[in-house]
Parts: sequence; C-alpha cells; structure tokens
Amino acid sequence: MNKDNSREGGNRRPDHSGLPRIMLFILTVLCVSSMGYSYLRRQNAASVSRVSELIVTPFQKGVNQIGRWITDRSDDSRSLASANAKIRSLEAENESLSDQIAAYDRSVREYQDARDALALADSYSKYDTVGANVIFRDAATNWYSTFTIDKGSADGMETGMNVIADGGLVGYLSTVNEHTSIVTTIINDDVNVSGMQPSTGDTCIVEGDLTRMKEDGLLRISYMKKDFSIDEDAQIVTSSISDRYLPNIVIGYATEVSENPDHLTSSGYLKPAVDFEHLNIVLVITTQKDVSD
Amino acid sequence: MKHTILRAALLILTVAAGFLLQTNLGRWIPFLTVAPNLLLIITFSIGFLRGKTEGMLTGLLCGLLLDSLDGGVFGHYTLILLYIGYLNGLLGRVFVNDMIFLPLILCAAAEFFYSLYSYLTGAFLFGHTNVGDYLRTIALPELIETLIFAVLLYGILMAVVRRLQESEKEKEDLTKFA
Repeated sequence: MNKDNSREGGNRRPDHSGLPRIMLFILTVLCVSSMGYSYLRRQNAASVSRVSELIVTPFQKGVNQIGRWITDRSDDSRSLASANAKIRSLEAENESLSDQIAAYDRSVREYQDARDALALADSYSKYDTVGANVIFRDAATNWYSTFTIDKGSADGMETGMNVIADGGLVGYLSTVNEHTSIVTTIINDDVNVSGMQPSTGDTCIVEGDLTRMKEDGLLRISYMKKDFSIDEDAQIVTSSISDRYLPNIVIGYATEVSENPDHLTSSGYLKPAVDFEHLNIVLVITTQKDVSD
Repeated sequence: MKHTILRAALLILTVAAGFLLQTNLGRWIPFLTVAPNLLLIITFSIGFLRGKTEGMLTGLLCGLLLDSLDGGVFGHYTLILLYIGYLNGLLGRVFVNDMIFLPLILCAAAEFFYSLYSYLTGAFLFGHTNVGDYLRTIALPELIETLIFAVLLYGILMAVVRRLQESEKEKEDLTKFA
C-alpha cells in the first residue's frame, strides 16, 4: 500500500499518506493561535526567542567581527589610495598655498567638532545613555525597518526606550529579550512621531514611509498649519506632547513643504538626521518618558 | 537513522548560515537596498527536492527563527513558509527536477506570494495603498536578488541532496546483499 514515491536516483522513505497533511493542519492551527495570542498579549513565546537568541548571537558576533574587518580593510585601502592622490596633487602646488589649505582645514574641523560637541551636550546631556552595537538588520523581511542590538533586559534595557545615533532620533525599543533588543525605526510604515519646529513651536507629524525612504531617503511630514515655514529653521525635533519620545531630540530637516489643496494645512518631506543605511553603533536613552495615564 | 541526523544537522547549519547572510548582506554590500530572501530559497529548494514533509519542516524551522528574532506577531512568517515548503513539495513530485528553469519560476512564484502576504499583513493594514511604490522599491528588487541567489543556492542544495541520496542508496544496497 505504501508505494515508494522516489524520483530517479533518489530513495525516499515511503510517505505515510495523510500524516504530512495532518501535521500541516496542526501546525497551521498552532501558528494562527500563536499569532492571535501574541497580537492580543503584545508579547510572544519568550522561551522560543531565548533559544534562537542563544543559537544565533554567538554566530552573529563572529560574523560582525568579520564584517567589520572587511569594512576596515576596504576603508584602509581607500584611504591609502586617496592619500596618495592627495600627496601628488599637493606636491604640484606651492608650499605656502598648501600651508594655507592645511590651516584652513584644521580650523574648519575644529569649528565642526566644537559645534557638534556643543549641540550634543546641549540637547542630550540630561539623559543617561548606553551604547549598543547593531548586530543585524531587518531580520525577517525588507518590509519592515527594524534592527537588533546586542543589549537586552540583562543590561537594563526596557521596552519603549528611545534610541538615538549621530545626534538624531532612530526609533524605540519594541521588543526586549534577555541579551538582545529589537529597535523599531521611525522609517516604519506604522510609526508616527509627533514633531515640532523648535524656534516657532509649530507642530507636525512625521510619518514613516518605507518606500519613500528607500527611494530618496525622505520621510513624510504632515498636519502642519498652513503658514508653516522652513525659511529660517528647517529643523524638526520631537515635541513634548509625544507619549513615546522624549522632547527635543532632533528628527531631521524639513524640505519641500507646501500648502495642501484644502488651504488649511501643509505637508512636506523630512530628511532624517540619522544615516539609517550605515548604523553600527546606537545610543539607548535609559531615561524613559514618564507617562502616567 | 545516521542519515536522518546528518540531514537534520546540515539543514540547521544551512538555515543558520542563510539567516546570518541575509541579515548582513545589506551592511557588507552597501548598494543592496533590499536583502535577498535566502530562507525562502532554502525552504523552497528543500521542499522541491525532498518532498512535502521535509519542505514543511524546513519552513517551520526558518519561520520560527524569523518569528522569534523579528519581534512582530509570532507565527506570521512560520505560517507562510510552512505552506511554501509544503506546496513546493507537492509540486516537486509532479515535475521533473532536473532543469533549473522550472524551479526558478516556482521560486519566483513563491517570492511573489511572500511579498503579497507581507504587503497585505503589513503596509496595507496601515493604510498605505500605494501598491506601485512598494512593488517598485521593495518587491521587485527583492525578487530579482532572490532569483540571482536562487540559481546559486538551489544548485548547491541540489548537489548536496543528490550526494546524500546516493550514499544512502549505496548503504541500502550493501545491507540488501549482506
């Protein structure tokens, strides 16, 4: 009765007809009920996560090191090449000119460093932060923008903590496991951030838009009053009315703001302050917004 | 028995390697805006080459890995990969698996359904109805990259599966004569 359904060259165990179908049915029911459970409870079977975490994390750390090594090597070779080119071109120039350029470069760099330090110290010094490495990105799919960091509840991480990098808002911790956490970025389609223009106090909503982000690196902003102007100050920071994000974290810079056809509101686009393509290290703000509802 | 263990071990290694590659390619190769769906290729290939039971189990393994590390609704990826493994197992019995062309078409179909499922359970639910944009920026690049990697990965998996089948058959012939 159990006919061997082997294909040429192969010898497969006889299929106990019906068994795979029953298994599929049971697994489907399990999946659906688990989806329902985690949707309602907003948490998943922690034990499974812990097992996968145990298996994957050590591998991932190794892979990360290899990856970093490769990037370093390519950076090394690139900087060597550019340094050689620069030497050649500088040799052609006369000495005083190159002196001037060097002095100018130095002062520009000093100016930038000082400005960065000032800006950072100004806005975030009152929050306690913890640095974390990004260990992998978009774990499951290209349809979400999440990444996993190497700090978890054992390191004091809690769900909802804000994540920043390069002085700008990255997202928040959506899931916290024991030694890893998942950061949901502000690019995601289902993430909205309440923003504000610091100089005028005008508010807006920054909407995640995965397609726009992939195409030209912009997010959408909307619900601004119609005379919202970016002429003087295009910077958008998190507003104090947000229930998830701490106030005054830079989100990015508004562009292409225009009045909507309804003549009541305007909308536009926002260039995030963070370079989401090249995130390797992020800062988690351990100060949580106190929302007592 | 020995072969079953060997096969399971090889499968787990393949899935782990696929996962690590999939989640890191984007960082190593900066111009890739999307990552190829390697776990889908593995699920599809094992299903097509080894039948519905093993396809289903591979889908289960890949799905559980993704679900547990993604942090979304648990079971979401397991469900779709389970069916991709199972259905390709059924199709593998119908079609001769010697050509690369047919598997590629099936892989493209699987990838299409995966994208559709991702869109319907994700962006669409949040009111983003601009299907064209998602098709252009995510689904299509992902499909192309997945197909490129499928040629390579399916080839490797096919070679390994054949090799295992041969050695298993040799063993069986020996015991038959003994």
